[in-house]
Formats: sequence, C-alpha cells, structure tokens
Amino acid sequence: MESAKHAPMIFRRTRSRKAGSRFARGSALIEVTMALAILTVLGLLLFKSSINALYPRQWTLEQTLSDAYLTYEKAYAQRIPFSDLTAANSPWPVQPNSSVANVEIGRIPGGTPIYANVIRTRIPDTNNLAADGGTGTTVTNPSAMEVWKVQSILSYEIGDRSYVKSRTVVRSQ
Amino acid sequence: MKNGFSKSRRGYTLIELAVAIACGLMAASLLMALVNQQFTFLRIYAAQNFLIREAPLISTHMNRLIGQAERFRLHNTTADALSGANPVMTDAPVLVLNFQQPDGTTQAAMLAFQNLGSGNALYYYLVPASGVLPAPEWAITREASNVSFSVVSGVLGVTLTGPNNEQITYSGVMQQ
Repeated sequence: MESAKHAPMIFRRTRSRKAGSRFARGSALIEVTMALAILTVLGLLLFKSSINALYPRQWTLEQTLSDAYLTYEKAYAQRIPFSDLTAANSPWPVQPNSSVANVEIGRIPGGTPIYANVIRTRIPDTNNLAADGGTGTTVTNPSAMEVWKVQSILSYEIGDRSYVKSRTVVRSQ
Repeated sequence: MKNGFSKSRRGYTLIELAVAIACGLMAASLLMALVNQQFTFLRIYAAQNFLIREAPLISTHMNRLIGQAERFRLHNTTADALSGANPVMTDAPVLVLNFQQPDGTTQAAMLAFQNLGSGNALYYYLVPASGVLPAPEWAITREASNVSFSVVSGVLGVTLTGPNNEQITYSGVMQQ
C-alpha cells in the first residue's frame, strides 16, 4: 500500500523538478532584467534621498557663512569712529544713497569661495537736526544729538533663490 | 535512453554564456555604483559637518569670551603672549584676553592654536599671576586645521579653516 503511494509521488516530483529546471533556464534572462530594473530604481531612489538630505544642509551651510559675515558688519558698525561714520566718504552713505560691494563671505568644503553683495546705508533719526538729515529743531533736540541707524544688507543666492538678511546698529552722539 | 541523456545534458552555447556573463556584470557594476554613490554621499555629508556643526559652536564660545573681555592682544607664540612682546595685528595663532574681576583685579586668559603632542587644537588657558603657563583648561576645538586671529578696522576676527579647506570668519568687539 505504502509502496504504491510512493511511486506516483516520486514520479510527480521528478516531473515537476524537470519542469522547474526548464522554467528556471528559460526565465534567467527575465530574472536578471528584473534585478537590473530593481537596482536601477533603487539607485535612483537612493540618489534622490541623498539629494534631499544634502540640499537643506547646503542651505544651512550658506546661512552659517552669511551669519558669520554679518558679525563683521555689526562689529564694524559698532566700532567705527562716529566722525568716520558721518564723514562724506563714510562706508555707510546717507539714505537714499548706498554703497554696494561684492564680498567673499567664506569658503565651502573644497575651498570654493562663496560671494555675496553687501549694501550699506545709514538712516537719520527724524529728530536729528536738518543738517544731520532729520526734521528736528533746537527745541525738540536742544543738544544737537545725532542718531543714525546703520544698516548692512547682505544678499546672496542659493540655487535659483535669492536671500536677503540685514543687521542694523543704532549709533548716537 | 542514451540519446535522451545526452540531450538533457547538452551544454550552453557561447552566446548564452556571453549574455549571462554580460547580465551578471551589468548587475554587479550597478550594485557597485550604488554602493559607491552611498559612500560619496556620506563623504559629502561628513565634509559639511565642520561648517554646520563645529564652527557655530566655536563661535558661541568665542563670542562669550571675547564679549566679556576688557582688552586683547595678538601674538605669534605663547611665549611672546606671556611676556607681552612682539604683538601683531594679523594671522596670529595666539589671543590674550584680559577680564576685569569684581574685586578690581585683572584676570588674563589665552586662546592658542597649537600642537601639544596630540595634534593641532585651539586651547583655552587661564594665565596665573606667576606668569607660568599651566596646562590648558580645555580644548575648544580639535577639528580645525587652522585658526588665526586678526584685527581689521578695530574689529577682532577669528578665521577658522576646516579639514576640507572650508573657511569661515567670525568677528566681534569687546564689551563697551
């Protein structure tokens, strides 16, 4: 009874193995093609995710560089002698005039310099005397106090987007 | 029976083998390119770390120190800094800071970019009244490949150069 049951099973196995091997030989090209396709898709997905991870870091990197450069603008505006600040050849001309300079704000990994435009201007306080750009009088400003808002604006580009950030220092004498 | 056996064991043709090898090579090269791409990504990611993570930390420490200082001097060596000799204005690896204490005395501190045997680092020293430089209090950074101090238009600047030639300059003024 048992041997009778075994015989057809062996036969079936043998037959199915033969059929399987024929199928495997025939499908090898398809399998490899599928593997290549999957690898290509996987590669593209990983590449995209890498770009997605790097792009915001590139943005942060330029923010770090521009913030660092603005520490110089702020310190210089705080440090410059008042007479130099209000002189005719002041680094911060009176608004609506302004000075524009292209400056190197730092270097990214690899040593590539990053440039930005810095625009400087100074804005008089409204209570300044007329000679100092304001509308104040000796009644409203008896001590002839001069107050200036010293402004530096940094503009730079990341990819196809333009960014602007500024620092303002109030100087008085 | 003999014929059937020889038919089932016939070999592959040269074309079949060539196609199989070519497909295998393509899959392998694609896999290698994938791995290489990931390594490149990690390398770029790591190269950005100095500017993104380390430099702002250094800047925070420096701002706190320099912002509280009453005056500063730049020197080329710690020996010059201790003796007060040969002050310079640019490209100085040593910065001496003087802090006013609540009791009216002055405490000197020093920032020096130097190699003490374990590679270049930016060290912070507290200078004792004896004038003999002790071991550094702490290392502000070990990742920078160069740190130089300079004074431009009365503004103190610290230029940090990273391990991949990246460069960033922080500026500040003393307390006013």
